[in-house]
Amino acid sequence: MEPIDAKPKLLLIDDQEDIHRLVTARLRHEQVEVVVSSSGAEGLALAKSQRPSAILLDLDMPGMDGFAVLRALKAEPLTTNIPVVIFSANSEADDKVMAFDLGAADFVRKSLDSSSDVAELKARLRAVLRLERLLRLLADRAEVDGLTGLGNRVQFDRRWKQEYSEHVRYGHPLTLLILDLDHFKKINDTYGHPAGDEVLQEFGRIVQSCSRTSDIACRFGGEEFVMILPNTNSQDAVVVADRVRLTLGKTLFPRHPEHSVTCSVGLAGTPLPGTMVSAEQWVEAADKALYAAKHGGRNRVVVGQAGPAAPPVAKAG
Amino acid sequence: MPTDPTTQNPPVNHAEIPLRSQFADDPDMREIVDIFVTEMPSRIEMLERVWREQQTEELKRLAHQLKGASGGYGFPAVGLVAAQLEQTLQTLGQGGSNGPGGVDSLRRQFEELLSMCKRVTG
Repeated sequence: MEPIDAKPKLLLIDDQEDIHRLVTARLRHEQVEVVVSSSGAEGLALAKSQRPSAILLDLDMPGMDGFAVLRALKAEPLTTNIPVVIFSANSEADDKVMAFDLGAADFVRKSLDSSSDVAELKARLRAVLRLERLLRLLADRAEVDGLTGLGNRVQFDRRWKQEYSEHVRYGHPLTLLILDLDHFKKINDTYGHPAGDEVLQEFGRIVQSCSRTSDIACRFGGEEFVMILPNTNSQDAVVVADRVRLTLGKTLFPRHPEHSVTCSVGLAGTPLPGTMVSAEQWVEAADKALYAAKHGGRNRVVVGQAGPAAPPVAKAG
Repeated sequence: MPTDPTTQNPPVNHAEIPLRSQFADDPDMREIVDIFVTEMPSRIEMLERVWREQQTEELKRLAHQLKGASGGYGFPAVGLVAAQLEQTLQTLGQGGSNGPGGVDSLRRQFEELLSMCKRVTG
């Protein structure tokens, strides 16, 4: 996840190099990193790859003009929510109306001649960047589980869809793990909810510590957690699952040192070649494996297999 | 007390007064103002060549660029003259009714722009 505190990027799309220099110099002390582009086409590509927090867009450019760029930015899902500030020497009423109709966030006259021009540009950019930052914080918060700090169900749904699509498109290995704390209700009932919360938090920490930066760990709900492991096959995923399981088993909980906690894990890796599996069927396969783990005695990892006619579930250590 | 004309300053040739950037003392701007000043001779060369070869579209583009940038670098006077030149080119290009007077205006404004650019200094 991108750190929320990294300097936001401002993409400047203008065909004149003088403008690149002037804007960069004037914004030097603003908390922003200026990225420049000389054309609409290049600007569009950069917007998609760099995901700037805001775009400062010239209208009068050869080739693709500002309005064409604005239309394209709004039509592309990856860039549609990036606020666009039009930067134009012309401030004709018609241009303003068109710009706002197409979804521009603001319209600033292109001039850096006077201190008031510069002050105005800075103020309007700050406002746009602040709003963007707050929206991003809000979106992030809506996807985070308050207790453990892991992603929540919403995040899992979104990320699983993404990783599944990537897998389908590029064929990289992918494994899904579902981890469920054993006898969790008993812990809550016996030692109270604060104890239960601590177990959940500690489990969240263990899961995090066993994850690589590319892995996605979420709390699915209640005492169920998921880990999406991109570029990982079942065998390597079993190693991760076992590490989590064994670490949890060895963890001492001060509130109930006599009672250790275990978890069961079901996992499903890349379907057999030639089989077509939906994202949902894949989750079901991991779930079936988890069920087998629970009913096989708990505190174990079971490997499932996603596939329309899935072979019998294999057991693992 | 009436001033003694013999002690007054000799008449000044305005074409020789150097133009300094309004932002020359701004540490944030110093570097890029220097670049602008350093690049000026080649801009002047381009203007002269384009004029010689009567490339009106290219001349308009160069004037447009100077109009847009000069003020930012702290040379608003250059920007103003460039704006006038661009406007005249625009009018003439649209079959403006200036006739021979129009072409004279154009030449005068072009030379004024050149002269201003040559005065730009760091």
